[in-house]
Amino acid sequence: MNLEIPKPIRYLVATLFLTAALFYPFYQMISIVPSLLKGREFVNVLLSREVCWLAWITFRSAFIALAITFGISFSLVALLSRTHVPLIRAMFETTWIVPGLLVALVVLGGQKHLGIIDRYGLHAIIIAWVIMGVPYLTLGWLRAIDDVDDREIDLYRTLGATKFKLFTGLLLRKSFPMVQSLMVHQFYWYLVSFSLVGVLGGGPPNETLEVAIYSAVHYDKVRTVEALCYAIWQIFLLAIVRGFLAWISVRAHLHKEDLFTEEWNSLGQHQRPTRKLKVLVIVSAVTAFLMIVFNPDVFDPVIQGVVLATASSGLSIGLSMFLMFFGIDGVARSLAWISPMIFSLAWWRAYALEIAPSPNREWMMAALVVAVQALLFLPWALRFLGPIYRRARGREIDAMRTLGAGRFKAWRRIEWPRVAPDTRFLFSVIWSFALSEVSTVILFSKGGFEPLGVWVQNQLLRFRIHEAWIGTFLIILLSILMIQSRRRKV
Amino acid sequence: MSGTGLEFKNFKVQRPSFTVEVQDFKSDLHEAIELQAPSGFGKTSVIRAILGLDPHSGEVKLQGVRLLLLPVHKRKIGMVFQDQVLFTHMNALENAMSGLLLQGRSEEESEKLALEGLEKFGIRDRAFARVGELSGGERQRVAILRATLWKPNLLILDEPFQGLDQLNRQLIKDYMAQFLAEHPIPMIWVDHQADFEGLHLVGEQRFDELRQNERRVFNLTKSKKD
Repeated sequence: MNLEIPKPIRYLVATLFLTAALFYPFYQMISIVPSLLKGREFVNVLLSREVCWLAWITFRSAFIALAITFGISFSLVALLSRTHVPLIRAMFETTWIVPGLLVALVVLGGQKHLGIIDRYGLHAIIIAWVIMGVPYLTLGWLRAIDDVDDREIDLYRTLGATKFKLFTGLLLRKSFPMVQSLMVHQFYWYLVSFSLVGVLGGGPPNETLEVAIYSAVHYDKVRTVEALCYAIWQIFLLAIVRGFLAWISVRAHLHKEDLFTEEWNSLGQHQRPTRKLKVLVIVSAVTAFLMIVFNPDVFDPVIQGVVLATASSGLSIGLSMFLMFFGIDGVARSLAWISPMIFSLAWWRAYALEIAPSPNREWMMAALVVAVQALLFLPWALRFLGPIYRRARGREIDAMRTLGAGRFKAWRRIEWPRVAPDTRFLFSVIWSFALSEVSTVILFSKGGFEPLGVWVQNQLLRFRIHEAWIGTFLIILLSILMIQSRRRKV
Repeated sequence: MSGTGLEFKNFKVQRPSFTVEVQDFKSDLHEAIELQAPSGFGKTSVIRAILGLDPHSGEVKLQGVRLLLLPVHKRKIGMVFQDQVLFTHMNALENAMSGLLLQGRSEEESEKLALEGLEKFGIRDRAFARVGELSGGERQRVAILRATLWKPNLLILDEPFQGLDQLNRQLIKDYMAQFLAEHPIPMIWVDHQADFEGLHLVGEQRFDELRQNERRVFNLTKSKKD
């Protein structure tokens, strides 16, 4: 932001933020390491056949899922590139708000329909990942092709390129740097996937590192050394992924932070609420209301879910704006490459254990859940909002300041009116993600707090499929309600 | 040298808001045709229709062949767009080679010809520079090489000298003069700053000399739809 915040203040705010959000929790977590390093025990566990096998299984499963995702997406892109079929694109975009738990239900239901007896296992996880991943990769790939300059396409054709040559020689080559980065993000997402693995794996040995870390610390017998070893392998895998992305970005001269912007921007399109949209919102609201009335068990989870989603998405957006106001949003982007489970564990160790003896434990724990969720969503909010805020900044801010406006007034009068619609829209998207988020809640709470996403997962784990369907459908309806009601013409 | 070059008959390009008609005419094989019209008149629409990128009605023949029957990639028209459009994922050499490769020439031959062309243009040392590293003049020279190296049957230049300094204009004019002398093909030259009073090409003396008796205006008629 071109608001000339003095450097000492920026450094101070950045240091305070990083200390509270990152350094202190990780210091607390790492501080237990020396006590664990007794002789060769730690190294033995780290390199044990079981731990190495789990790391390999995690990598292999994610890689297989990525390869299948790539193959299917490639076929779809070959069919759909340079064509505009709004229905298919709208279907793909809808997957942004489809909770992973719905995909779990579809996979389980599909396997049951096909008569597959052994429905739990790595194959189910891979199928679910592919279902979630294909629309994301295909859509991003199609948009990368859409972005190829029309003039270059015309030129290529006039030089003698057939449709096949145009696709292979120009469109694929030009879109590939973006596709590579999308695939790296996809791979990262597979590695840190939690609820899908928890529900569809059916427990050890069909799990990945992310779930194994949780299992090692959450049940009655806490296995700290194992958890730490799993975490080290997870950090190692994510570091490889992160390094690969950096290499691609440097090679392709891409701006890492802008990789997602185009995809998200299309979500942020602001439309005048049409009659169809109004009908959709009203139907969703009435259906959701009736479902709650006829299934009173879901009332409390809905209320808790809505409160948690509102608080965490609000805090995430607020923090994003705060960091961008001070021009230190870059420091928070690093959070995107920490495994959510490891990050949550660090906070759990640093703050939750301190809070545990407190008489106000429940409220403070809820506040911690909100804080952790907000921080986990923060890098994604910044990735979306950063470029939009930068585009909104112009000489007008300088002109406003020369007219006597202070920093905040210049921001309030010039920048905010331009970015407010996108910011509100992003709030609604994060809200819908937060509604189905489960990992943080189940790590921090001991069953007393059961928002909608956790409730659905618990129903699935108890094989109460009917209830799980109701909860999942409610998540979708509430997400539609929130997102569509936020659409406005700029 | 004579023979039928470009021939237009009832050629019409229809757009939602207007229609552009091209007067019927035949050009010689090696004739340079100036497409003159003020900005917004529909020159680009006409060019795109000739290239086969947009639909048109009527007939346009190139060396006796009806272009309407051919898809874009078989029309063999070399095009230099405005604003020095290059393939941004390729370097200068790859850009210059791209037309040759797409016409089925081998990699070795294409590279050899492209390097020779770059040498002629004085930018041999810039062969491996990425598009972003090239100056405006260098870009335009690469664009012209790309459009001409594969010896198309028609050349269309859309404001080839726009934004170029005198040195670059001269380099391009020299190259074009040599190319057209060796490969007589019709050429359409789009001029956005045309003077309707005459057929001036201010400051383009040598090019003008080459074509002084062979250049004529290619008139467009535009009608707006209600």
